[in-house]
Amino acid sequence: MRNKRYLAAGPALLPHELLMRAAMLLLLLTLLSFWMVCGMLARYTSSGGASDGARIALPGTAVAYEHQAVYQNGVYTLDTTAPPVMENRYETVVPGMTIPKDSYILIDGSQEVDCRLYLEVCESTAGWFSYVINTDQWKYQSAMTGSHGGKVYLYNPRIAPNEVMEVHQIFTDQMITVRETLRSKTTPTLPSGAASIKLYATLVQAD
Amino acid sequence: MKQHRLLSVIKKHSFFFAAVLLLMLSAASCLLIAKYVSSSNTMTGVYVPAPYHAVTVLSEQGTDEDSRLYLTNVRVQSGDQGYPVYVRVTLAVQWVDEQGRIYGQQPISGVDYTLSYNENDWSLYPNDGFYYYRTALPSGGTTAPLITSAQKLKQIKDPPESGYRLKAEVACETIQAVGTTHPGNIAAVVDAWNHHP
Repeated sequence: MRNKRYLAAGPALLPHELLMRAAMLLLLLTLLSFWMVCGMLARYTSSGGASDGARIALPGTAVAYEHQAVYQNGVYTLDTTAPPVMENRYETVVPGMTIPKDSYILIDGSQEVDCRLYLEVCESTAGWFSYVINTDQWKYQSAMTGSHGGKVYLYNPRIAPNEVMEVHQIFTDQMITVRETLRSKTTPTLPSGAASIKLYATLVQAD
Repeated sequence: MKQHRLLSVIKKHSFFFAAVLLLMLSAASCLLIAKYVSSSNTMTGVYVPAPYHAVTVLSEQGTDEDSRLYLTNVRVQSGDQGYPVYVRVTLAVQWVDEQGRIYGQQPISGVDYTLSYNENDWSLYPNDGFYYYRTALPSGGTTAPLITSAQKLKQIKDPPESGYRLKAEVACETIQAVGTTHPGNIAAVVDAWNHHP
């Protein structure tokens, strides 16, 4: 009986159940697509002029640098005359040694919105170093863990749109200290391995 | 009737409705939390611990035509470990037999042997009896002689008993000339030896 009614209406119509399912599937797919792209629906900015347009605002770029370390006769210094670098290798690290670190972050001013600057500090081997992140500017975010597993600090204040700036004094007194427990000072040793401290700077849209 | 029909439809397709509801809720929350994030490069510092090498004592030692001991040109050479070290040395002079047993009575400087030290480059710290090299020794470097050829240790008297001979043994220690304690900021040499050369 049901089939006869459908045949009378014509072969173009689908059964009610199939229609419902098709509609549901379509809605599902639409929402899925919307969900996948909604992360891109950030703030829009518009430019003035005869032909107004709108585009997605840029978040800007933050780059971490420090000056090249120079070693001579048991002492590390920084070569401030040479261009800054993104990596320093310290091949002769001795217990109790003090190593100068003038790490800083350069924000290029391409951010078009208010941003927050986060710093993640990753230490590969715990207990080798002693240092303090400058608490005058950076607040430790104890509730956060960085994407690389390190400690996260938030810079205060906010970074304004188009502001070009350098954030210095990341390490208090611009130095780190090698702990005395690194190895024995008096027993001949051939220690193996190396440790690293990595800094990651991240700009996040503030609103 | 209509409500009844609607409810039955919902009941029939409950899975789809649940999925749609979930997606709508997560889409709403995504709108709330989606923000632009821009990450920078990595600023990396790599730290390699320096080794600590044993030192080498260099000297010229032998016996003269009377089978009496002499010791001269005593120097210390540090390992090539990349950083300077402080050096201290002490000399033990004893009568020993062939089995290495030590005679009860110690030889006396000026009586059993002559000896003087190069005090231009080395200083005696009376509290511990060590001679300290006055400056830090560069990595792989060699000190000036503690005992020069002009000052050499020379046995001048025969052993108190047969079977014994005079033996001079140089003991040397080094400590890194860089680094301090934390806290306290005390130089490693002072922390270890309680004396700064």
